[in-house]
Amino acid sequence: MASAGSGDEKAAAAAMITLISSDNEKFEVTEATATLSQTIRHMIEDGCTDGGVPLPNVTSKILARVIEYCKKHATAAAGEEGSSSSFSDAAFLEVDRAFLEELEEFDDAFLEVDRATLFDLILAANYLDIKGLLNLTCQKVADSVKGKTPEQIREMYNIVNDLTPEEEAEIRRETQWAFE
Amino acid sequence: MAPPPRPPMRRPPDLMEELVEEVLLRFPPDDPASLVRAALVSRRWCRLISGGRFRRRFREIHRAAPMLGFVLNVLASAVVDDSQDTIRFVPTSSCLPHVDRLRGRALDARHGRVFLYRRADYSWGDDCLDTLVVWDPVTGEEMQLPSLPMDRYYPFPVSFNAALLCACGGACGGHLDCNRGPFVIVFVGIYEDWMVAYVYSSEAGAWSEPSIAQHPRDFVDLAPAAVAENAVYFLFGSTNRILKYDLGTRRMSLIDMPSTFTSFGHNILMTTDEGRLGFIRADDFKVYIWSMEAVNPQDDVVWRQDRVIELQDLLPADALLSSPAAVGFVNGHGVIFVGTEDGFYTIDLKSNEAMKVGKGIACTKQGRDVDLGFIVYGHKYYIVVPYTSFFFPGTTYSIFLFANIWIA
Repeated sequence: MASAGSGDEKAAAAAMITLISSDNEKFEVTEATATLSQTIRHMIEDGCTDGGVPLPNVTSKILARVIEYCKKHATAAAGEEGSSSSFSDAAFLEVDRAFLEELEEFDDAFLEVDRATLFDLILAANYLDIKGLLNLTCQKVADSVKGKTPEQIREMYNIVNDLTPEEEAEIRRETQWAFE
Repeated sequence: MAPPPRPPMRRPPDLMEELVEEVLLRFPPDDPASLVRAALVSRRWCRLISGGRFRRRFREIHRAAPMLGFVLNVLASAVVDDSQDTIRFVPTSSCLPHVDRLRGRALDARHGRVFLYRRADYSWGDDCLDTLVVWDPVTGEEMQLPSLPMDRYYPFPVSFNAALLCACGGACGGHLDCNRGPFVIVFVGIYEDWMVAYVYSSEAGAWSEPSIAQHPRDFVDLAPAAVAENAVYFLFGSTNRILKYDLGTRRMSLIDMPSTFTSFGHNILMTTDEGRLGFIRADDFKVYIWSMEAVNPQDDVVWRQDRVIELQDLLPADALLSSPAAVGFVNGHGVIFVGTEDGFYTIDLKSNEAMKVGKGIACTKQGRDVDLGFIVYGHKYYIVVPYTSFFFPGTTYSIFLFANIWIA
């Protein structure tokens, strides 16, 4: 995709940022990719990214996934900006739709991870303040418990039931219909 | 050779409370059972879901309260004993209970409550009176209102209708936190010699002094009222006029409906997206939608025809054996209910899509309705009062839970 490519080149010409994971692995990313994280954006604005940005809460395994997400979404954003000036309306809409479909497919594939990784991604998205990723991962968890019983949800997400039988009975009594 | 044992699945890390909340906020609002089950997962989940902050944010994110069901009034014609009028709550959301009530009519519903007229059961031979009740079909809670001030001197009005409003008068910013909050009921009744309006306030727990107007030589239609621009509007049954009750001045006046129509047939009032009064009529396989452009101090109204929807393009052949009737409108959603020979359909005005609702519920235009288990001779008709609400489990329970934690 020409427009996406040119967006990448533009970004590549800009400054690179080094991200350092908790296990001390270094990742070189473009500023456009890094600034999808509001946390890193503020650090760049404050000029404290020289010598790399240490991210003590994120392992290299998770950081690699987060960067993969940011790269894709930063490219999509750059592509959209480029295309809006160079295409006619109809063609723009066509490209726009293709972008969105591609992005959706990417997101779906991106979420094909085990539950522990999904939770790690939520924690990382929250720490790095990446709104899109937080929304995507939280929605995935919400969708995954659809139609599940409380017992199944607890088992899926390693949650201890600390409700007393009386408390549980009280809620069930109030909303008997939800269990029929 | 046996396959190597799978490595044990890594346990998901703990999420901070704020992140659990982010997940719970993305639960589907039109499936209240999912939030109920989530509340049973743990104390933390339960406390989060039943807390005020969660409820407020959930409403902010999901905006318009979802339609969880509708109340179907199955009404016998005037020549038939109205003791057979039936109220049915038909859930459109999973799990919610179907409820049938005899002898009565739902007049309006808003913010998770339904306002009902319950006809006294004279067959029991006692001297009980007709009553007005506020009912929550999801929790089953109901509250009987004090009897109308005129009841001391006159029998129940010959014809009547009412609107249930939020007491905030719109001041709460989109009614985000109005579910189960204070409410107001505007009741209009036609007595033998005059027309009367009362306002009930849940905060005061009492009816207002009556506003009295000249007898309109007509009866109030049973279609739900619409609220627009600080007034409540009611249809009349046999003339092409609409009753306007001004919430500010508490004055009643009459305005004209779109001039091409007479009142007979299935007309419905609605509130448009711009907050103006709208008028819907189904006729000859078409739905006409009008909105009120202006009204001058003399109550002369200018109507504008906004749309004509061809039902033949939207509904299946079974639903088009005769011209469908407009039977209800979901305010805030832009959805019309139509009754057809094939049951009830919703028509979404934005997407222009029709969907069958209340599977298996008959909407026979005349004759017997086997579905209800009794036979009605002559004409019968239907009015749909949509039920939109957010439902949060454990809201009464949370007081008990917090009290426990407080003591511990």
